[in-house]
Amino acid sequence: MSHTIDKSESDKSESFSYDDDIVKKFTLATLVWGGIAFLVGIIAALQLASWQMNLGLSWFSFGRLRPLHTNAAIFAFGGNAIFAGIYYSTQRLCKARLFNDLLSKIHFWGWQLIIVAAAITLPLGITQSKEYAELEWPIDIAITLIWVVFAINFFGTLYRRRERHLYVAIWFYIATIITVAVLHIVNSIEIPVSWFQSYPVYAGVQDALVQWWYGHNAVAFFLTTPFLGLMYYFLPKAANRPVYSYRLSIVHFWSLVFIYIWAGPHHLLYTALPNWAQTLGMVFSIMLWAPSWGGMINGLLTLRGSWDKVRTEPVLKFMVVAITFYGMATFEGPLLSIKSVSAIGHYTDWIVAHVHSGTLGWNGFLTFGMIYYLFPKLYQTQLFSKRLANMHFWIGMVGILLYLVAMYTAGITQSLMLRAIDPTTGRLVYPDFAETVLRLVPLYWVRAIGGTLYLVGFLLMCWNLYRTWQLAPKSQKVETYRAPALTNEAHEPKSEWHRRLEGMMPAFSVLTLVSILIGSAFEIVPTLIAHTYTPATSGVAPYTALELAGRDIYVREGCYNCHSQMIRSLPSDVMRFGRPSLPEESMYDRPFQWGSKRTGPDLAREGGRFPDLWHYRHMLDPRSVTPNSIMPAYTWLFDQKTNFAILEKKFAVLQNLGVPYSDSDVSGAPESAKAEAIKIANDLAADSPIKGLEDREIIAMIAYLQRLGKNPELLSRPENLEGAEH
Amino acid sequence: MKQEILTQFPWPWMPTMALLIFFVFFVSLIYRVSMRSQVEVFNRAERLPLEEGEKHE
Repeated sequence: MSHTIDKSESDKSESFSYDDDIVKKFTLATLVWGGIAFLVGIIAALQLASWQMNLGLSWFSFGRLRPLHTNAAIFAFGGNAIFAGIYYSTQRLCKARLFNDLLSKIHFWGWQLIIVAAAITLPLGITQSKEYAELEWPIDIAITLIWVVFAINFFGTLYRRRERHLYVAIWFYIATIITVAVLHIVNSIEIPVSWFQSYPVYAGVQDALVQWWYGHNAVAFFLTTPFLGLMYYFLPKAANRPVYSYRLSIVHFWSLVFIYIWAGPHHLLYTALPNWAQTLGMVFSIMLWAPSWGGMINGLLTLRGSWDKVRTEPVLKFMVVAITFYGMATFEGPLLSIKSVSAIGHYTDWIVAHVHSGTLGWNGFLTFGMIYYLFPKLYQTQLFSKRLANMHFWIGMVGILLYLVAMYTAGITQSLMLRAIDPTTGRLVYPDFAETVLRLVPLYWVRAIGGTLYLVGFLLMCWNLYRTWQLAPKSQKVETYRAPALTNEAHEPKSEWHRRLEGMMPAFSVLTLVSILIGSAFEIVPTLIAHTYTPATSGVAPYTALELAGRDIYVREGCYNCHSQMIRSLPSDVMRFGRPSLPEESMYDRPFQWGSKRTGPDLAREGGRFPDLWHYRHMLDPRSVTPNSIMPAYTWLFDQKTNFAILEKKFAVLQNLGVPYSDSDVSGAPESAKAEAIKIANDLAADSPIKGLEDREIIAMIAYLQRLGKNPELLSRPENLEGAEH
Repeated sequence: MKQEILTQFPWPWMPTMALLIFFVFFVSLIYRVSMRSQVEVFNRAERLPLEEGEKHE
């Protein structure tokens, strides 16, 4: 193409080529990790449908595999896809080769190593248990370094560009790079205990707020903004027509970037998070409707006048459905942020449905559309079979619909059962939590079928792409392009302010950073310094050494994936689990364990509800005490020994973080834990033939479970005797 | 403690200020992108994805 914006530069033409090798690598990685992410997702789905699918193996249990699935889907499949798309489109939008080929290679191999490290450590139970940020500190550091490499390569390319204007897709990429860096660094501030464990500097409410500020915005700035950038580039390319409204894209970008960052607290409605933060999160979430739908409308209307192409072009088919799912998911997100709707949907499969309409529909289908577009171009050939691509589309579509219908039904069914109160007796209609889960099992099977269909469609795509690759010419020519170099002349009349801003990449990036920092600071800072305007006396004692050891096992096993530790101020929660959770109760929780889904009951007041022997039997064979339970057995806790020696180091780290342990508490932690363990083991031995368990992990786990909610001084205070809000 | 955080939260101006900043920014953004002088710029910018640089044979 010869058209450039600045005619004055037309005589300073330079030739260059694009680095498509790195795009091929990231595309291939997307396919490999996508297959693994989907497969692990199906396994996890089957484990919920049938507990036997956990196979009695520690590394294969649901609590450990579910984080592997989410990380693989988001960072391995999604991550590689956005890197492929960003590198392809940025070069072309800037009319410049990537800044540095070596940095591209370091970025690619570094990211794959991080994924491999995640795939090894998560099944081993090496986790921080913070959703989508489970990876331990050495991997966190590696992520930071590789992200910096990516940023240098990206911004270096912008610096060397031959097109003055930064197209809207680039703005979304800038927002992604800057915001993900801020989110990752702030949420990952932790103190190492060993190579495989750390404690976050935040605790309880603060940890929850920071984590969901991160968690929500990981969705926003890893699964939304980069994909919107890809939409703004690849949709016009595939449709061969410009975006519907460039003006709308400017409004879309700035309002989305500014508003999204505030919405995190909507994950914590009715919890112990201060109400002002909940309300703020809800209000900004509702405001998100406007920019999100602005983006969706801009995408769909790009096809105005060429909808007939959607019938025949699989690329457009995937993209149109992806944008439609984006619209549906971003309608549903604000809806779920309204407190009364959240009261129904939160902690249920409704949220799982919402998340998967975004990931399977929006991220997955947009990625597939992009790959169908990219692959033949990268290999200088034609797609092997449009028919297979169309089959992929329909099989995947049916898979998504089965998945979503099953999960929406499951979520609303369980929520209504959990909330049902008999008006004549005032009691819960379904007091047995397991009964509500049992009703969902058929729907879990349907979900697994839906997921399998999605994978089948994906495998069809892989086969189609393999055959396309076979059609590619043996020696592919490297195409060279020409474009005029940029000069330092003033190019634009003064009035075109945003245009000039887009020409100033550093200023644009700083403004984006300021936009996301405003919301972040206004929400997080008051929470972090809450101690300056609230009383210091808590009435909560820190964990004993054995309780802490048990807590770390609880974290390792990923119990938070199914059990919350947060009783919301809702009648059904209070009647079922006890008084609403108070902020102080989790003040020593590093990391917090409020959870986001209840496949099992809340455990915030579990301590003392059952004798030690019940917990012993429950962990050994859940169905021996809860007949309909779908929880897997944790038999390895009965064989593995508690690491008492490391407790001194753990206490020392927590003492440094402000937990009121004395020096003697720290030095005596191992012995103190052993003494506690002997007492519990002796109590068990007195009631049963169970002997010699004092050094086993099950004893530490029992100690922790029996501690939950045991804060008599705090709970006996008159001001804490209040019940539900509504 | 929850009630205390609610009643003693000493900076209600903070979220208010943030909303104000957003609305001022948003309204000025709408105003600027609606200016007629921008039309030509947008018309050129929106075609950028359709260009890849002149192929050099």
